[in-house]
Amino acid sequence: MSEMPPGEGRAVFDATFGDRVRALLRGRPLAVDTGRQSWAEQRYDLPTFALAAIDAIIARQGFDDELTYGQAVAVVVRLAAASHPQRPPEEHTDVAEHVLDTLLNRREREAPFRYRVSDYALDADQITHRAVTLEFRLVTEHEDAARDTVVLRATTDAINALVGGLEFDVEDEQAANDLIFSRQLERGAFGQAERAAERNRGLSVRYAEEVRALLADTVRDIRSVADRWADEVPALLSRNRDHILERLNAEQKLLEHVRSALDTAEDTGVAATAGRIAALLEECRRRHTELHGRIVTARNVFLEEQTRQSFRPLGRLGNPDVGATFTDLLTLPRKLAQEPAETFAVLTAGTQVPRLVRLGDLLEDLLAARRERPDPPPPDVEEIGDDDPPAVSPTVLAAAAAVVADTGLPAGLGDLLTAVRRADLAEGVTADDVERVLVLAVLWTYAPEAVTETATAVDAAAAVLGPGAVVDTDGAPLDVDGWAGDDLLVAGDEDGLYRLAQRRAQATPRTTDREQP
Amino acid sequence: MTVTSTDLRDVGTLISCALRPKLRPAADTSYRQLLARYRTEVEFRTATGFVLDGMDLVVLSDAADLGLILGPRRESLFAARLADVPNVAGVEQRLLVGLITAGVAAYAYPTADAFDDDRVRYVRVEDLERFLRETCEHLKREADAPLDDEGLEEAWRVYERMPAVRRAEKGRTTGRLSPACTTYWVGNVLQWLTEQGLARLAERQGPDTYHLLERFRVQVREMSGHEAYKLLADARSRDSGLDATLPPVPPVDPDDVIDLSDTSNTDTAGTYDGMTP
Repeated sequence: MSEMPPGEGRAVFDATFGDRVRALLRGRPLAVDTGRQSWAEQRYDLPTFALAAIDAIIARQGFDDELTYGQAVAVVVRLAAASHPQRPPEEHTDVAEHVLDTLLNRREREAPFRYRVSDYALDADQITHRAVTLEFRLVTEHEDAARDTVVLRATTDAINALVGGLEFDVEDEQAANDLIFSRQLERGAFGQAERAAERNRGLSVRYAEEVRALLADTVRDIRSVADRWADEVPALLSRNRDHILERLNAEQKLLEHVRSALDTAEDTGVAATAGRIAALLEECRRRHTELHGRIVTARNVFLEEQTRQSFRPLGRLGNPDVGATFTDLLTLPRKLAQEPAETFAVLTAGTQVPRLVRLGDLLEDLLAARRERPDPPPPDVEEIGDDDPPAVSPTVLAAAAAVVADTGLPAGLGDLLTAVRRADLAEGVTADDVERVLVLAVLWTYAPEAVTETATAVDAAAAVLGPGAVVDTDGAPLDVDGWAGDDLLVAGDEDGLYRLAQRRAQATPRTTDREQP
Repeated sequence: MTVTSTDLRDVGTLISCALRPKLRPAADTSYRQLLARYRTEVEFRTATGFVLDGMDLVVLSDAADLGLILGPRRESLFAARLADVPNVAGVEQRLLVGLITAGVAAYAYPTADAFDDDRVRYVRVEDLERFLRETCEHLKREADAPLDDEGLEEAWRVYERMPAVRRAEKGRTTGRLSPACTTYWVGNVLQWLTEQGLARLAERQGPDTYHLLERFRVQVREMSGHEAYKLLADARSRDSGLDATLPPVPPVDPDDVIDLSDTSNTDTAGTYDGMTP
């Protein structure tokens, strides 16, 4: 503590002083550190690139086509290329990615930027000091499920830093901008008018962000914002609605103004600027219209969520504290931790449909030679073992399907194979081929695990055995020359399988279940 | 208004879509339309809810862009099976998978508030392994000497005992990570979550880096986080606190273990002796 100096230096105790320091620091990550990059000597204007990137992100924020990382990089690459045309394009990309990675704070694993700031206060003419940690992010990544991609969003901190204000009232600021803009247009100062229009757009974004956050909180847990809905929100929403309608009118008027300027402008530079401003105003209008839609439905969101959440079980309202759950799991004795740990994994993993069986696995199973074969494997196996499943000719498939249909399901695999040998096969179709396809189809339907996607194989097996076929084993050995293994039970459905299994269990010693055609 | 046979067929189609976690409504017109019906028509919604209830499934989220996210009850036919995770053969591997999955969630969402922030979370295999190991080592410093009885020793010891990295020295997998090390298991779990549509390999962020999808956040926040918490509270109430003055608990035997789970769950859960039925 030290004695208070008289007069000067008092500003540091102003309530707004801390805000100004905070505002200043928000720009600090933009002073991008070049680190030990190979291009560090090239004097790229990194702060400008960073600000341009944030601006590009804000321009699309809240729309259906928010900026992706790649698009943001492209924006910066264009700037880098313009300033350093003699440098290779790869370097421009490196620079751009460095800028974006800095904004995202990739180096610290997307952690917020942290700065220590001082909080001075005056206590009976003594200066007290307190160190405060200031944390903020500038750009964050979000999943855009509709486009199946990751998009960038500027945080409120970044939007504030960019539009240059602090905790000002959005509406007043906008009204002020409007006034400036009109005057600028009257004076023909289009350069300034363009900047004012850009500021207006930035404000609209921030405004939309506020409403979005309120609605998101409402949807998540209405209790967390219930007070706000009771006190300030209804007034806020109706005021906002009036405000937006007013903005829409005002911007429409400005747009007409700019267009008339566009028509009469003789200076081509002025005409180009007016054209850009017109486009900008159109975009502002689009934003306001969207925001308007959001505000109009906000009350319904509130009512719907009130109904929906009042029926939600109470325990579900809060978020789980998985950090604590995890520590608890680790410290419990193993046999007590087992069930909760497994449950966590199973319920996190979501749904899993009992899998279809696929040919790719069958081939592996066949090659694995789990059972001892009385004969050497047929030479075909090597062909089958190729990465690409061999194409089976449609005539062979048809023949196999015909044999299955003639024999009728349910049946044992042995019966089916015997039927193949008795069947009259079309020209060019050998019993060996048909047998092999049949065995493949049956084994494939039986083998439970599957990894690879082989749609043609699915179709092939369905063509032979029928779409709902099921296969199981009762352990009885196969008694057909040339084949070894279990005499699998093949049926058109679960019921058939059950009946066949019953029949076979009763019939000892096992006999053929049905008359062969 | 009543639910017609056409409506019921639509319910079936919607559920079929929802059971494919990688299918996005944006990419499928009929999914999008049926989801919109689910979100707006009370009768359709109720009918779907009943059918799902019969399948032991509950709706965790019906966001228009993510699709209908379903959470299975533990006993559901549609619940994921730990035995389908590669190299999971017995009780110890299942415990590891459970611990690591909870570890992924704790790493990405350390506090309850974190679930409200939808920014993208990246998980690098190496970082996650280190996080888990440091957590275990921290517990080790505070712990007493290990107990002889496997069932009574703390769960973290299973992880801590395994080396972080071990590579196969022979056979066709030479040089690859061996299932006898934790880095393998961390990668294995993330790969499994990826196959379940909850994560995605983010190669641009570096090798072995995964991006946890929105679906993961929903699944943990709405389902597993709460259910595991309930089971834990239940388990803790059974924990004798390892007090040495208490009579020793007999070695783990399957009968003892079945008591731990709900009697309704014994088919799919609570078996401690190796293979799942």
